[in-house]
Amino acid sequence: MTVGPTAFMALAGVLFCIGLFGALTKKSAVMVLMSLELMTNAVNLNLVAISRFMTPAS
Amino acid sequence: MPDSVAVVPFVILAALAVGGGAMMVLTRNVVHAAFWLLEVMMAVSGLFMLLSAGFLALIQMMVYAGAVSVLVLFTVMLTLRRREDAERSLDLSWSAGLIALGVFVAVGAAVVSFVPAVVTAPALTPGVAEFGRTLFTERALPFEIASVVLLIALVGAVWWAGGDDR
Repeated sequence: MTVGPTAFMALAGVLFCIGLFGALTKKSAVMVLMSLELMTNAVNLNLVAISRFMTPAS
Repeated sequence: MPDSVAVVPFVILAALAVGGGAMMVLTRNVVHAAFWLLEVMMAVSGLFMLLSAGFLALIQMMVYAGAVSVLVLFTVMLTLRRREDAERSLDLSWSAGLIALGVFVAVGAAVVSFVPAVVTAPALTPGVAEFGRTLFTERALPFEIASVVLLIALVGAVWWAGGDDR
């Protein structure tokens, strides 16, 4: 059983939306900063997954 | 390289990451939230290693799990006067939940309908040695620009925190 790029992109989307929810709701500035860190991590994960699974057309 | 990865470590790491993120948003204590964020960072580092990006996994461990979480904990513990101040209200709102859910539906639709132009996986993983050689030869200019930007940020932070006698 293996998983492809779609699963990683879906996971990155879930993490991004959790971070977005936190960044929109929290009133404490530190919590907003931590939610933004979560969102950047989701974007990084997406970039790494795409670079692992796909070759750019040269 | 094969064009897919094993499902068992992916499911374990994904559950750790999503559960840690949800606990980070749902906990009341800021210090607990910082530790949940640390757990999410370590799970994402494991996912990087699963994606054969060992250098990025190492950098994720050093920068996020090492530096950023320590920075957040320092910020929290230096700004709180009393231990009870770490407890915050939960601050949940329906409108923000609807916005996040809408973004998730849009992202999910985009992921499901995503058709890459070239689906073949790269032939081999570039190692740390090739990465360093590329970074210091043909990508030297972006590297230097990034270092200058970091230097400007450092000087600006020192100037900004310089006190009243500037």
